[in-house]
Amino acid sequence: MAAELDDIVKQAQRDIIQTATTTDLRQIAAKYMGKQGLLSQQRKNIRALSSEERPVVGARIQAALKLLEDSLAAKQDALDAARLEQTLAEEGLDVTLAGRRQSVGSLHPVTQTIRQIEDIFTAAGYQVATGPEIEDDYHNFTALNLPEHHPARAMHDTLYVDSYAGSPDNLKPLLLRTHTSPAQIRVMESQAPPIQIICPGRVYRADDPDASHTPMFHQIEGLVVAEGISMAHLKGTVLSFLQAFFETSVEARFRPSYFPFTEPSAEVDVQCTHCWGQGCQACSRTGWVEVMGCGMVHPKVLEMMDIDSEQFSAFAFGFGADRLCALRYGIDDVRVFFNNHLHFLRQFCH
Amino acid sequence: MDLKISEAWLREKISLDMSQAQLARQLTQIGLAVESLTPVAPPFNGVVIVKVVEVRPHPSADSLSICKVDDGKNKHTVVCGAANVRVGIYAALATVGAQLPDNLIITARKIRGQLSSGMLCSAVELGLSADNNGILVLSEDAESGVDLRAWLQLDDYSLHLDVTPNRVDCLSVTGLARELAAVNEISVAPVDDQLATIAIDDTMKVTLVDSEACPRYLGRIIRGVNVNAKTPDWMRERLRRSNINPIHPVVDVTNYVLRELGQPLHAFDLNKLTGSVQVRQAVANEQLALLTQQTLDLQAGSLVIADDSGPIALAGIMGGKKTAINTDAGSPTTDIFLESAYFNPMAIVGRARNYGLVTDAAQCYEHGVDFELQFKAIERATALLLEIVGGQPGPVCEVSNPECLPVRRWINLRASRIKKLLGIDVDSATVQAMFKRLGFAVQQTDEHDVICQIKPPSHRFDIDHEADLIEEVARLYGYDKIPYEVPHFKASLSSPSKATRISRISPADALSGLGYHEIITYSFVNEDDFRQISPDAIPVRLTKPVMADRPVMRASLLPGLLATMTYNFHRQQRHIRLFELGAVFEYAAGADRQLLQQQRIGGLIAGYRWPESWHQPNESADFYDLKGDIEQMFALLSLESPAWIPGKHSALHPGQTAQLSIQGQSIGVAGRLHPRLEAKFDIKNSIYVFEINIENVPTLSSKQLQPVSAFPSVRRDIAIVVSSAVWANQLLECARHAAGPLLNELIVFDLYAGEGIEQGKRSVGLGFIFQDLTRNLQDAEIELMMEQVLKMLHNEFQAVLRM
Repeated sequence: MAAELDDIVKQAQRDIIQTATTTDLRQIAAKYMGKQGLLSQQRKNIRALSSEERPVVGARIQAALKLLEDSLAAKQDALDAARLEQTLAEEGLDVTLAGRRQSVGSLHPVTQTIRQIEDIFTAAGYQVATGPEIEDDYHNFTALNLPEHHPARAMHDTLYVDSYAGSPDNLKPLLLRTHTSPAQIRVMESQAPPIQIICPGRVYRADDPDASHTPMFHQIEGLVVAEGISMAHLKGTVLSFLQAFFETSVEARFRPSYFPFTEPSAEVDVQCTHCWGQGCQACSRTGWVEVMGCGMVHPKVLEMMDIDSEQFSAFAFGFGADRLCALRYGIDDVRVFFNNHLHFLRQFCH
Repeated sequence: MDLKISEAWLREKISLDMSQAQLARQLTQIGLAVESLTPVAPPFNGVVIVKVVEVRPHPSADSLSICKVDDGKNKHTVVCGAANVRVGIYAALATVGAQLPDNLIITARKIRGQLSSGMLCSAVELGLSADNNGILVLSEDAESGVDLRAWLQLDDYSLHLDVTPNRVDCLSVTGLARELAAVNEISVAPVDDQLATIAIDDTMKVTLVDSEACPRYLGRIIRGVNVNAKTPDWMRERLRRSNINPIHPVVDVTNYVLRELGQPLHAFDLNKLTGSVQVRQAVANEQLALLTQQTLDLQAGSLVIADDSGPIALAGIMGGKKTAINTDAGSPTTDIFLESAYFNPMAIVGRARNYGLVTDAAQCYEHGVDFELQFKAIERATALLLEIVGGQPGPVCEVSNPECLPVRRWINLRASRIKKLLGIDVDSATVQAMFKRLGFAVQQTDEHDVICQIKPPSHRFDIDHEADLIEEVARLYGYDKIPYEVPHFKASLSSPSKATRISRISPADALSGLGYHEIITYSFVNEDDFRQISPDAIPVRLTKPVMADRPVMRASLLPGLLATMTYNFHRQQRHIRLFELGAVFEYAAGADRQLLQQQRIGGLIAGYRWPESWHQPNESADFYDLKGDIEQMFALLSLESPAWIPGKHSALHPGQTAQLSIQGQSIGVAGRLHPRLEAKFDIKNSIYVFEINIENVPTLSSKQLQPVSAFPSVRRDIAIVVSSAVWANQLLECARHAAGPLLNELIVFDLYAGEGIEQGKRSVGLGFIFQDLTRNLQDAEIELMMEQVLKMLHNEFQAVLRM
């Protein structure tokens, strides 16, 4: 009987080893350990044994049962592991394929430039002010010390529209603002000093489009009105702005210029960012690139705004956002900004 | 304003101990920006002046001649192809071994069998001109054997300055020298202003009808001039370096004096003048034929020089054809009337522009010519004319009204003001010396804080305020000496704007995050595009469009979006998502035609829904892609989601258009472009667009938080069959109302039409989610609510439960 038991156990272990599926494993468990299973039969046979033999055989059967249970469990674990292994293998992906998503858009490079500049100034306490693009003669010219027939109006190549404003006996054509200075005038009309603002926006000049001109472009003008504001403050502000914008300790040059609304007036050049002052085609071999105009606001302008020019002084500056953007990215033809080629725009995804 | 001038000429006026680079830097630093410095001639050598002593035809070529030329020591034989070679002229000989521009080396060689020992050069071959007028013929004072570069001073540069409009006093070599002298504390060579010896008594009667416009007019008759004399080489060369073409000696002299002194002059043919000269306003229907062959219909307000027959010149701008100097061999001008006048800038400004004319004279007069300069200029011109064209001068006649001449007044200059505006302290003696050097009058005063009183000179039209004086101080002191300081603002804290309080991002951020590319297009558009998109809008027109095909201001962002889409579609782009942010313009309907300027955001999608990828076959984007993006945008901006109301728009598909509104206020429109317009853009896919008026979108006030329920929610789904004409939001509104306050969420989870559903109807799957804050919901009460829903949907829309 002992030999029989050994045979059963051996056979069972052979069966377990050869099994490849959980289903077969369950059948094996039933075959040997189920109610009608071979080991159960053995247990029934115990009754026919002597009382001395019973415990011995009983213990051997118990041991055989335990052995088979362990073998079954181990086999089950192995089968589970193999199956998981197989599932994992089957579920493998090509992780190099593209993800599922919408394309990503972009802000126009000029918008990005304006935002960077707004960030630089708002962090320093400036407010952003805007105004209408179709302006009246007063806000665009007269209030800026450019009265009618002022020869410097010719510097502006103004575009006019078919509409008029003003008093009935003195109607003036409306125009597309030639700078964002009228927005500054509107702030000074409604707000007492101290004022520190920047005014970004579209402006228009009757320039035929070429590599360095477009009839529409974007300007950012700054204005600070307060007590004790001097040209030294203007120079310091402009220089620290340029260094913040170009993210280098770029050198600037201030030279006398002329704007009817500022006195003294200055033109600001920065060291050419292509050749670092060595002289190249981009800077007409001068080593310098013109970036902005600025100056101390003319007392006449302040007085027209009912600001006491003895108590308060002011500086103003203005530059083309498109031009700064072009300088920064090395764009040599500003017309690309308004072609809006997607291949161009996509390079400005953020 | 551009000024081109010979550097050598400037250095002749003022002895500057500085290099060219230093000179350029200094000019730029004092506000006379140097744009460029261009050599007046390319490098060449071995070219000498020769006199042509013999010219005979080439035996075997009709167009060539064989010339014998004399360099003062030796004679050379050269073959020449120019028609203007003749005995007696002085010409430029490139000797054997000479190096000409473009690395041309001259050798002795046979030309059609005849030995040529050198070459007679044209101005083109020497790089002096672009116009080929045969060989270069030098003036008669030339000396044989002299090196051409030395004779013409060709080792010189043309200085190109950008002069700001306030500094027309620097538009001459004398003006520049005066400025440089002041800066460098040196003196200027005086202009030769010896008075001409009066040879005849003839004078012209001049009447200043409008003496406010012309407060000073000087005239002189010169008889017996030879207008066919040759302008000397030195003068031609100086004019050339100022980009002025030599014409004939009389006009060359007036142009030369303009460049030398800054005073425009005009010479009339005396014998073409009828009666006396008047300076007056043009009257109605007068015409004037100009030197340029153009005939002007004179506008009222134009100042003219007239004789008894009518206008003969547009004062201060351009002379007339009738009285112009004539060089025709048949009847050349012999007697001239020379004008040197001061015109009030206000009488000239804008006039040339109105006629489409640009002249140096107008540019000078409209910004202000030195009103003390006329006498000096007419004497200088007379001296030069007598030297070149000969003749007998009459006396200078001056007609003037001193009361109308500009008045220069004293201006106080305060030390405190300099400090305040420039942020620097300057020494009072230094300031006074500066102004004196610049030609300003300086007078002492006892007034407190006032350094001195200063009166600008007659050549400065840009100084009438203390701030103008302070600019002069800064300019001469040096802008670079002003320190760099940063103003300190008082820190003031304020609430963020309503918009930024709720969302840090802008519509542009939201849309770019949703895959849209921002574009910027011109605010002026094509008229057809305008009409197609906004047929009912009254356009704002440009009176003179800068781009001929774009005469009107946009009343919608759609033309720019559509044009950009087409541009990109034609560049193989098939997944297009664009937006633009900007102003649109139109007139309101109604008698007062009020101008409307609105800020809008507009978007467009066309082509594929997704970027091309392996995930699934790509489908065309449709209305719901656009709608989803707009809903997403509003959600990202924490704005109230707009209601979508079926609507109409002339440019959009009548069945796929929605008006967007918030709180009953219309904020914009979205939909598919009308197929009639889609056909114009030859792209295969439909185009979806939206446009929202940003100013009309209300920002939300601060949010009220809702409590979160701790009890489970219960979901019930139903499918109903209902007429396809019933809009989803009608069903939802009805169901929401019927279900009552315990309904937490309601969604459309399925939509089906087709087999099994009656034609004209569709099956709509509705998902209801119920939840209470304080308790578990019972099945029975939910069944009751669902029954109520079905009943209401049936009553309102004859909806039935789908079996």
